[in-house]
Amino acid sequence: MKYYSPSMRVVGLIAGMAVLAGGCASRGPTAPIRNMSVVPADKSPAAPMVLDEAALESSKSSQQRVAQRLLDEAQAKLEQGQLDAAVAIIERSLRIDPRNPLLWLKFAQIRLKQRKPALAEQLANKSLALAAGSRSVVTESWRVILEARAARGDTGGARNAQDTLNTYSRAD
Amino acid sequence: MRLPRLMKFRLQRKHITILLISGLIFSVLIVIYGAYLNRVVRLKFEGKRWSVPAHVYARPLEIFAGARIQPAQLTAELAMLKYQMTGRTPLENSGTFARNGDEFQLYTRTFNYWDGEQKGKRVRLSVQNGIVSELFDTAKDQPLDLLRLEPVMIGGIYPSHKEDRILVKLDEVPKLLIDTLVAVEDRKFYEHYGIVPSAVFRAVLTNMRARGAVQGGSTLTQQLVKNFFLTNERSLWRKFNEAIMALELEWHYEKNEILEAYMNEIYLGQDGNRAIHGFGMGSHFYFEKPLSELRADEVALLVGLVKGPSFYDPRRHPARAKSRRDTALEVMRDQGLLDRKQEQAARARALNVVPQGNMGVTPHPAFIDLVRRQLQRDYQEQDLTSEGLRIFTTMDPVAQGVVEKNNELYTKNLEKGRNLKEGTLESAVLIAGIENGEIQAIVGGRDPKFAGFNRALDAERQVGSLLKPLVYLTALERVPGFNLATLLDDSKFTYNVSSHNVWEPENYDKSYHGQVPMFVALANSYNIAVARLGTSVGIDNIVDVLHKLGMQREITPYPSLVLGAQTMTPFEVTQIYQTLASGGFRAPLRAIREVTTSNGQPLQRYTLTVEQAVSPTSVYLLSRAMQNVPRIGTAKSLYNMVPESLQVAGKTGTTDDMRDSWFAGYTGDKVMVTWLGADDNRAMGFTGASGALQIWGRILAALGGYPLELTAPPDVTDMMIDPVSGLKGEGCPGAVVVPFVSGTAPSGDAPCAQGVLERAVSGTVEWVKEAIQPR
Repeated sequence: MKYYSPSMRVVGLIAGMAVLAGGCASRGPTAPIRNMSVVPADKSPAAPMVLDEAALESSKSSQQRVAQRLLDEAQAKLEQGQLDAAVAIIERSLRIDPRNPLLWLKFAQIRLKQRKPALAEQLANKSLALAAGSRSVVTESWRVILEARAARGDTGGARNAQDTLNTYSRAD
Repeated sequence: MRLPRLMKFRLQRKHITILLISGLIFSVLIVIYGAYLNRVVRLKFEGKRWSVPAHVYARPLEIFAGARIQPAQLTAELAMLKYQMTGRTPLENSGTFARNGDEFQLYTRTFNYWDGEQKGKRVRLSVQNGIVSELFDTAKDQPLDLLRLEPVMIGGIYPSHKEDRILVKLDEVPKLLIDTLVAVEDRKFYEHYGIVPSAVFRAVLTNMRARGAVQGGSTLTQQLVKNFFLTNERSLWRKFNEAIMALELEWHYEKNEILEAYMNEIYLGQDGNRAIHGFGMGSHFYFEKPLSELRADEVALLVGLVKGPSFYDPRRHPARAKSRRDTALEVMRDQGLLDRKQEQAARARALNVVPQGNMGVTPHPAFIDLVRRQLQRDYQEQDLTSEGLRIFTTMDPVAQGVVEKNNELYTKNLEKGRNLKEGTLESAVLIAGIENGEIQAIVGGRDPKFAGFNRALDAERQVGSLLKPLVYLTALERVPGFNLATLLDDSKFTYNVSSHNVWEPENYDKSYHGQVPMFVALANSYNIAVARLGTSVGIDNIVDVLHKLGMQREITPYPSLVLGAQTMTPFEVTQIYQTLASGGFRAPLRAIREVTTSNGQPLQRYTLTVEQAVSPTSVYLLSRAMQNVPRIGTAKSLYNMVPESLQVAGKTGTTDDMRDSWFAGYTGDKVMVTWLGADDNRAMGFTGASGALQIWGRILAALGGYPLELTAPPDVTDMMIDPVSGLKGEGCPGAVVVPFVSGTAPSGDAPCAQGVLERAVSGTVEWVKEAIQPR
């Protein structure tokens, strides 16, 4: 078996602390009220139950990576017309990265394909709420909403969605 | 007079025709009705006789580089999966692992998931700093991006039965029990065709004399039919139906098949709202041992109970039970099943019933209870009766273990700390995933093995201040300009509910706080401010919001609702808080992901759905305000237990005289609700903070979690606010960052704010005066 030498652990620790310091300095406008406190000293550093910021960031980016892989799988199933399988995969991806708007958007698109426009619209609302300014997610979500409303025969609602989409394309 | 005679004759002929036709119709109807009963009873019989339980699985653990996991959690999971630890690598067999510090090698088992088979894999993984730092497929010699560890089996259940069962095969049942049963209940069992006509006739006669009270004369077959359709109704019509169905059962099935079904179906007692069916379960319930180990006196008692499990209940009516048992023993001797000496010895024994009959046969009864209910609700009955079903649930077995352990320990500690009578303080805990509503853990009482009253699902208790956030949410949704710094009036308030019913709420500290910003009133759980606000936004509107968030039962819109004079179950509270935690998107709480047949075919699926209940912006603002409850409000002691970086949003709940203690809250990945109180509703002396919060915090500390990092809607910005005046308060003592929808933030500076003094000196005194006067 492979062992990690003590010196490697030290390097890792220093690297971790550096990332941590950087992370603290670069908090955005939605930052919490007070500074993030790290795990209290009385907790064993070998097994922190709450992740430090560096670990948190790394964890988040890996979640996104794995979710992206599953998203591609779901897309492949969607293209093959295996819609139930696509749903199962997208639900799995959402357990790994539950606040990823791309996954909710894909879920909405699959529901639309399944002719479940009401479910599709709700899922698109969810991806909109998590879009955090991502232009493509916002417009794609509105496109799902537009189609879902049209499919339900809600012409007024569809027109509103089209208007919203138009404001985005005008802004381009 | 000939004509009339002719008419008479004709009438008679007509009568005969009518009689014949109606006789024919009647026979056809009888045949149709008989066929209908036949179908009903066969469906029941077929559905109940499978003896292979459905396997119930926990969620499979997903492992990938970057996944959050502790080495201790991984070893716990591997232990539950019965993986063998070995020192020899490379690993030779599936189901083995090797560990070297934080580095693991696993050889997983092949497993058939609902989405296909996953082959066993040999992998290496390292855990550092609480996350998986590397995942490597050693057989293929390349990194692996995702590994699903096969799920832990958490129990076997019989989905078509409503309760726990221990099903037994006839050849496992001691001969003495079978013989005694036949001797006591139905001596002609092996000879009759389902009914004994003379007995039926006698019963009918007795019935006519007694007007209504049908009694006795039932064969085992009739009793079995009766158990299939348990109701309290005792009519002749029912008796008739039972007789028909008994004949039909006998037509289709062998005596031994009927006897086996009877053994597993007969009603033998009641444990709270849990019915005890079958001798296997009865033996466990009364003697805590398997059927094969029963002595003659115990056999006699169980068989004796068949006649009236409630009347002869050996725990409540020991004298009656003993005399009934002794009667059975007498029959046993008469029939030659026991000799005189054996009978004497058995008679001399005490009843020997174990004191408490609430131990379940599944390890996590509260969770399994929910699984069972959702199966019954969401799946077709005939689907559930097929053999060898596999039920994939949402349970996180590691979280469930942590909840069981900590809840039991800290409930006991709290009880001891207050010198309460031992065993009186009860509790319930639920944890659910935020975005998908998947239930990860449930306990229905302090004793995690208790299989009786499931408080998590069924205890309807007053919720106290847990509903206050909904009052503020209603105001954020409906009152233009209402924001987190809006000043609320927390001074004496009387409200005329009707002409002679005046409502005058008080604060917990019995004082008034004057004008307070909304976020301060919420954090400190002030009653009067929220009562005044609630009555002005409209109780009906608050009820409406409560329903939208997921409350399904009817609610009477009393004004006291805003202070939580409303009963809810912990499960219902969890649903409401799940909707808040997920930014206003309600995801129905569920315990089941998939059900597949024995050959892996998924049954009809009920997948993740979400529904936007309220506007994400209002919920965002509310969650930010609720993050102040542990920071500056009633739940401050939470951060003695977990790091403040988790940024928990939550709310304490305390009811009148401290009968109920609640905490409901969420981190970035889970929503959890804890309740504490007494079953007889007596005052236990805990506030939400001193009771339920302590258990909530301990569980979170043991589980860890992701911080609650809320995504701000595009039109929201943060501002430092003075908690005293609710005005801009950069530099004020205790100033708090508060989010505002653009255009709603206060424009004035607080007296304590930086630069205010300088401006005052330079002659802008009037401007400041205006600023500090809020209205």
